[in-house]
Amino acid sequence: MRWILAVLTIISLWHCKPEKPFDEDTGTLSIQFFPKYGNLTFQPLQSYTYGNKQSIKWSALDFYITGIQLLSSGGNVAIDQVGLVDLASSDVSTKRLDLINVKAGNYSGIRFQLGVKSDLNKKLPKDFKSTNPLSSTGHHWDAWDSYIFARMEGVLDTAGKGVFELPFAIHTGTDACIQTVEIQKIFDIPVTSEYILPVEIDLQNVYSQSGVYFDIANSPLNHNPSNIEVLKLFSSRLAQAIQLKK
Amino acid sequence: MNLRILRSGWPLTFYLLSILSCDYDPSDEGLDSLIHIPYTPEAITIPRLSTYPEMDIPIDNPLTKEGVHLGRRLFFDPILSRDSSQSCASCHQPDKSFTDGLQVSIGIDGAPGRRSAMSLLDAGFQQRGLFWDGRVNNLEEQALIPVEDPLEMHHTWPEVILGLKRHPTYPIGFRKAFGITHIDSLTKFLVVKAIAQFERTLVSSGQSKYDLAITPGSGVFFTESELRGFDMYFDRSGGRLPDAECFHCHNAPLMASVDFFNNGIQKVNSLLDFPDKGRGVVTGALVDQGRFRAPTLRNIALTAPYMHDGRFTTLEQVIEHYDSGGFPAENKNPFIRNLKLTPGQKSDLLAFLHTLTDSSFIQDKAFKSPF
Repeated sequence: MRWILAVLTIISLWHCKPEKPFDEDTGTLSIQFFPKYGNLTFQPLQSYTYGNKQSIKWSALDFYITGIQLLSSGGNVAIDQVGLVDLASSDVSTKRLDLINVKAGNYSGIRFQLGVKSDLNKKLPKDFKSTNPLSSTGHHWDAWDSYIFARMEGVLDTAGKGVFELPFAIHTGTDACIQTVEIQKIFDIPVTSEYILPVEIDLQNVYSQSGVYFDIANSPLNHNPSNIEVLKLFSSRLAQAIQLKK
Repeated sequence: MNLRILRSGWPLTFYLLSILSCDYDPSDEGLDSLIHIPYTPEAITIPRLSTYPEMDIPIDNPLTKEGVHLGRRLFFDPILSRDSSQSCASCHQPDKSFTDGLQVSIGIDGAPGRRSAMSLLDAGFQQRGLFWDGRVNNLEEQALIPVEDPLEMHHTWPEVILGLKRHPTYPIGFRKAFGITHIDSLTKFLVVKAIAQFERTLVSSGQSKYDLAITPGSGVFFTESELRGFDMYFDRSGGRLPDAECFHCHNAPLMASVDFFNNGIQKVNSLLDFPDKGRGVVTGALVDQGRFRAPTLRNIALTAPYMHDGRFTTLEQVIEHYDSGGFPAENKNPFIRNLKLTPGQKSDLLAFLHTLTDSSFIQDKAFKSPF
């Protein structure tokens, strides 16, 4: 009888053993995005002054992040995770990218591709599981053989009279639009905990430079290779507009 | 001594092991026990089209032959409605690509529903929510709702479950599909799991003219008109033809997308004025007011009337709407614009849309009523 009970006890204890929640030497890096327009916090469909007399509102604003690397003097750590950051969604979780189970330790910054890096851009949404942001068919253009790296959509009040009558859209894509973003910041990812890296994006700097605003009224829709120079310009500006939050 | 262990120890061991087993239920020994019925579920996989993604199937509801069989019976059985007059198939009819041909569906009490029935074709691939507003996460959650909706089946789940428990064959079906050992384990969650399993089998056949025409070596080709429509739909003409902008919201292979759009069909003075706020009800966000899911355009010629409120009765009207650019709104998709298509180009677009008809799908006997 005793050995039977002993065996049953061992089985019970083995069965109840909790699973280890995390690898012991890993933590989470959470990149949180804070969109703004100059000194103003960005909100979808909020009106912002555009140039001298016009006003602008955005209804869609999202972009892919791929090829993420954590910078370290001991060797950079590549993260095999793709992010689709949506700054116009009401879901706050889409404004942060949680990199879980990354090697804990000290880092000097992060580097990533703004857009879908070339090897992934050769694939199709069907090649990815639904949990992967690259499975989104709405972000792929077959005729382009490319993902849509960034989508910026909204309406413009061209006359400055409070009537937002002109829809606009910029969709970037193709390998020519890929950009590298690097953010220098010394931080520690603690074991089994998280470090939050705050990153801001100034949309005013995407749509204007040196006080000169992009002429949306003259070119409201830019989303195919015939507009590639415009798309490259916006890709570059979007990358430059992403900085460590002060 | 050893003999005593054999006599008294082993029965105790078996008893303790039974208690440790999660499946043990003392009531299994009663009259409603199902334990005598074999439980040998057979896993099945859905044939995957080369152009399609892998279907995301919940870990806790894998497809089995028995589960799909049960789900199909439940789908077509009016037992789910209060007066046993309507089944899921009343609003999702196979020959209409699992829609009902009505502007909005009519419930058992004769009251009109709020929206047009959506096609279930390729429903298993839908992500980011089901229904026109994406308010539920998966097919299991979706199937819970119509049963108790006063505008649909107007029943209660406890009564449905009671009816299923009293049914001569359903308890056996649940035993075979899910391994329940007693009828008291028959729950609404198993009902919707079975229905969801059946619905995940409702996948395109890959035999539409569109699918064949884009498959090298199929020997099937678009007509010149269809090809022009195809080029405009996907903006593949390199500027030779107008961009009809369709693919932004109805992209291949599903001819749908996971996003929600205001496509300009509703005239409003402000974003708060939409009679049906769509996605906005779910999120509460201003930007989502009047936005709806872009449904699949596969079998679109069979699923009239169109839009969430069934306002357009023909595809010609739909094309006219998109060509007009619709009503302005601050959250209207910017690609809904005045396209300036010629009558011939509209005909080409229509011809292409008809190539999305999947006759093999609607004729598939596995998708028809088992009764």
